Amino acid sequence: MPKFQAYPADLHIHSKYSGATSSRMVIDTIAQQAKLKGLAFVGTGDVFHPKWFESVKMELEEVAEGTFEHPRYHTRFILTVEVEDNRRVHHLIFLPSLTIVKSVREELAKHSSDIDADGRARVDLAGPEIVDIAVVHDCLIGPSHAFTPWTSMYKEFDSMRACYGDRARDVKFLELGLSADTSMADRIAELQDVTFLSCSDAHSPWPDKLGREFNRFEMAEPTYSEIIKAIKREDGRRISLNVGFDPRLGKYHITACSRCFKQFTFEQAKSLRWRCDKCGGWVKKGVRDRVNELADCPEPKHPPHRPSYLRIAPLAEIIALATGREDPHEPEVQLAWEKMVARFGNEIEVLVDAPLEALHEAGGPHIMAAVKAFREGTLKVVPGGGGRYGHLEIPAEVAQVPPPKPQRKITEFG
Amino acid sequence: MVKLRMADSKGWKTCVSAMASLIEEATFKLTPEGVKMKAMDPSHVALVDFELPAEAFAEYGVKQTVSIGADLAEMNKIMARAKAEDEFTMELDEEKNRLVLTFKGTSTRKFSLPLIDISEAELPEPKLQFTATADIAAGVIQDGLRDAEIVGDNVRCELKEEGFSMLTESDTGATELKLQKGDAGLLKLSVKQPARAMFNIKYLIDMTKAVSSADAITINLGTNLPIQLDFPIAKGKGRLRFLLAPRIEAE
Repeated sequence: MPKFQAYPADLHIHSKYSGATSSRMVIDTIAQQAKLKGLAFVGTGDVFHPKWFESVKMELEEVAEGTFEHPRYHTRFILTVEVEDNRRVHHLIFLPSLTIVKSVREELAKHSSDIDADGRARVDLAGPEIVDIAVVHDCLIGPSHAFTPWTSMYKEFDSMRACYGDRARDVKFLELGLSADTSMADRIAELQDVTFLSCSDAHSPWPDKLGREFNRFEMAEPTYSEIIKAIKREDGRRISLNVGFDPRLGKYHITACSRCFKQFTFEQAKSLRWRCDKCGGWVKKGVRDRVNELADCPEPKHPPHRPSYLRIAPLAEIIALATGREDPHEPEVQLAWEKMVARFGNEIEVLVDAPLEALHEAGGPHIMAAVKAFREGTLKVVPGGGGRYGHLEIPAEVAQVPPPKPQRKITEFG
Repeated sequence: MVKLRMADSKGWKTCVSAMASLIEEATFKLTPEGVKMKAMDPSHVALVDFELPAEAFAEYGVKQTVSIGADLAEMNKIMARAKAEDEFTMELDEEKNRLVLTFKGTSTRKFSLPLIDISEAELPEPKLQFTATADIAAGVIQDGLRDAEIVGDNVRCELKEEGFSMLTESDTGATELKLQKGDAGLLKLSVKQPARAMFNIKYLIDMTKAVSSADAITINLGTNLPIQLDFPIAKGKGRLRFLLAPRIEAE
């Protein structure tokens, strides 16, 4: 039996060629930020886009079949893409080689008008047809952010079989999405044998986005083929930990208005015919309510293979809370984030593993207290919904210091 | 055909470097009269206001107004490759939607930069009644900020009839920089009413780091108002202006 090692991997991101994505989503920055975040692997995303495909080919070095490495930061990449089907359901695909990327792309291009223009192409095919093409080419495919209300499998269908037909048996994984976790998904009986992935779906490379969700892969070596074995749970390879948002922090957890974000119970939304009584906007069904509809049991039933799910939050957000800043992108917060990550090597180490005394020494009493509260689950979570992220609040007893006087904004002087 | 040529690359290089430390993307508006760019940083704490008239260029070929969206970090990387004395040309390749930057010195080097679409945000036009102004050697300010950074996050700037001061205090200590009338670093001082306000040091460092230490910075201040920093560029023909919102001072 080979010796296994743990490799953190975020397998769903987008490049600058997808809609509404930061122009900073370029290979160098992704590789550099992934390293700071402690990720060993990142999915390339968008690999059907011709320019992104060229970047992958030119800027990364192929170190094993389907496994690419950044020459400077040594972050590894596997070839991935997300596509949208004819029912507006998103599917995540892992591809074993550049040659196969070309072949699959060629087949899908016959059914897509924007495959050259958008990193996440729309394909005029049904779920089972896309699975067929993927499987013939030895790719792995599964539903992206499976429960969200706009573009997911369960917004459109009540079961994997309804979405994928008799090809459902070829779907080996499901991406949970930010608003769901293992405890929610394991209330659905049909998912017992499916591997869950927790990925960021990042549209920008900064540490509160890239790697905000990831999987700890346990495998013999850091390669594409080992990742696929781990997802299929073959030869002892496996995912040993899903790491992701507390689902309440996701932007579709609670049923809420997509315009003004007013939150509703399922019954209220139904009686209002999914129209907001405050602003008239559309009310979107939250992931919590959708899972309740689909659930076969009131409590999760975890199969023996299911790894634990560790709930995390972006460190920058926790530092902002600890230091009384409003915005995790403020320079003071970024500076403290950089200091902590430089000291402990990566963000997960700070959030999960670093001893409290060392945190105190590196970040001071307030950051240490906030990380401790986070680890103990005593930070208050204000849930998100309707497209607005949830956020954390720090209990008064943890925030023992008065917050600093606030930074004013230029707009206040207009 | 849009083409802009400068006798050397120094001015553009300095401006792009300072802008890039605050904002990621910018829309340059090219009119027949000159180039303008105005943008706020993502947290709306700082505003950049840049103007370079047509006469600052050795050649200025802009017949109609055109907006050019660029990734400033990328442009900054390219400009960093220019030698200060290189003749510098920017041309718009409309067909490929790219900006072509050429440096001509001992050889001719070309870079092209993809243009990006930037949604035009509405920018505030702050009306600020400054009560004091001073011209100060940039090197003095840069040194003072580096001193202050050792001690804390924020610096209190003050303009009085006696001169200019920067003070930083924190649990770890204090530092003060003073410039009095007659000091070589204080080039000009005009005070209608003493003014003071507190600012984030990191922002001020970013705004001032690209300027040559021998250049003068014009500071405008009003009590608890944003600070306005002006850097003359292209021998005073153009201007790079920063506004930075204050922090509310502890009682």
